[in-house]
Amino acid sequence: MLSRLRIVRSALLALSLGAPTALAIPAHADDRPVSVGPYAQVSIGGQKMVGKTKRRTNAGPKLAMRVGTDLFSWLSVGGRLDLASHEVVLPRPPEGEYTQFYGGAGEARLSVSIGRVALYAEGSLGYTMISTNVLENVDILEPGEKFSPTIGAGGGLEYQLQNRHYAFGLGGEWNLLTEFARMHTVNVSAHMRYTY
Amino acid sequence: MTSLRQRKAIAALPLAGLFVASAALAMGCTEDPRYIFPDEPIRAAPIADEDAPPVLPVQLLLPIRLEEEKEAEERAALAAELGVDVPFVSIDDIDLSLEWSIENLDDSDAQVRILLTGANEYFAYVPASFVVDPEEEPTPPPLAGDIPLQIPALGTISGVFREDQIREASLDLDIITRGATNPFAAMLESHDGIDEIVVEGGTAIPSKAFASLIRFDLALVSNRRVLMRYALRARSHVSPNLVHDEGLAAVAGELTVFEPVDFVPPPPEEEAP
Repeated sequence: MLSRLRIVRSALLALSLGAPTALAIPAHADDRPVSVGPYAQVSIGGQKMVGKTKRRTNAGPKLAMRVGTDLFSWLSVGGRLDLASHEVVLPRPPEGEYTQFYGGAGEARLSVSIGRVALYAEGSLGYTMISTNVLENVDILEPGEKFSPTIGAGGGLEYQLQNRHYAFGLGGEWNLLTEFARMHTVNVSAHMRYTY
Repeated sequence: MTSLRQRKAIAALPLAGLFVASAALAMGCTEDPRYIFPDEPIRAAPIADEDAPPVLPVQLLLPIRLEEEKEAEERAALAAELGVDVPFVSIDDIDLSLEWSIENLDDSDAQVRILLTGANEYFAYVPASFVVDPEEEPTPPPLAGDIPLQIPALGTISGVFREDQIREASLDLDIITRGATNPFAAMLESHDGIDEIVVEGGTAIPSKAFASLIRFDLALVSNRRVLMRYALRARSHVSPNLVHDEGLAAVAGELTVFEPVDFVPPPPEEEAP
């Protein structure tokens, strides 16, 4: 009987001594340190028209660059320049032509960090310029039309490297060009973001 | 040892490079092509009677914007310096190509020839004008084309008059008209890279004053019912672009009016008795 009491007492003593130590060890690793401030981002991916104009262009590469600043760790604002190139598919001459879309927009981005990964959603408002009038041939462009206001929304995820400045991510975006026969585009891209 | 600021600057270099590269790319696209789409395709049908008059060409006039005052002054100064007329649309100002497709509407094979002639801002080339006696003299060739093309029954073929071919056609036209050269002789050789057009008894025309085609006259000769669709592609090397933003839809007052005259060769010199 005495020996049983000794065992229980020893166990309770061990628990009482170990508990503070156990509570002091976090259950998971801290979030990685992340720079907050001015940033620059470059992304590369592909873009495709969707909707009624989709038959007139093939999917093509898209390059985008962004600069801006983090107002908070969860909110960023900035600007974007992008370039996309598409082969045009027309029912009559010319054949095998390419056209480029040059875009510029202001953006806002909301992000939520979950450990090393951040989820983000963004919206943009800007203008797109088309390089040639080749789509006049199928009435997507009006004569002399070169610019279109552009509204965009997108989102994705980002992986924060050990280095607090660098993050890599994957994202997608939808854009509506309010001119150009109300062309819709979707793109997916991979990006690298450097925060100063 | 590098400072933190230097390390940041190094880290930002790839991004800066990409920005510069894309800016350069955008700058390089100032000569993006502009397309001119005619309202109607060209239709052709077999000619039953061999003595029928030649097929009338369809004309496509380039929608050239108005000349700016400064450009007109510079052109007048250059004309005074060279001693020859200098065109508003010179051969070095614009590169043109013409893309086409021809559809055979019949259920038997077709043979087709495209005849491309045209005009610069001074003269139009009309091959028949060179024929004094149709019984004895052949008609000179067009500026480009006139090659038999086979189209399978109900099939479609496509092709292009390339920029270098249109440039050569422009040169040939200037050589035939202002250079007063026989069209057969002019068409026989390539004039790529020539410095001037020699004018017998006149001032040679230097390359700065070579005139470009500004009107395309297209005729289709076929032994079957065919339909030709085409588009003109223009790359202006002049800023602002020589081709009006609105193309053929531009209002008349915003386009340069060219009035080329049909070139009529001088009559052959009579032999001395």
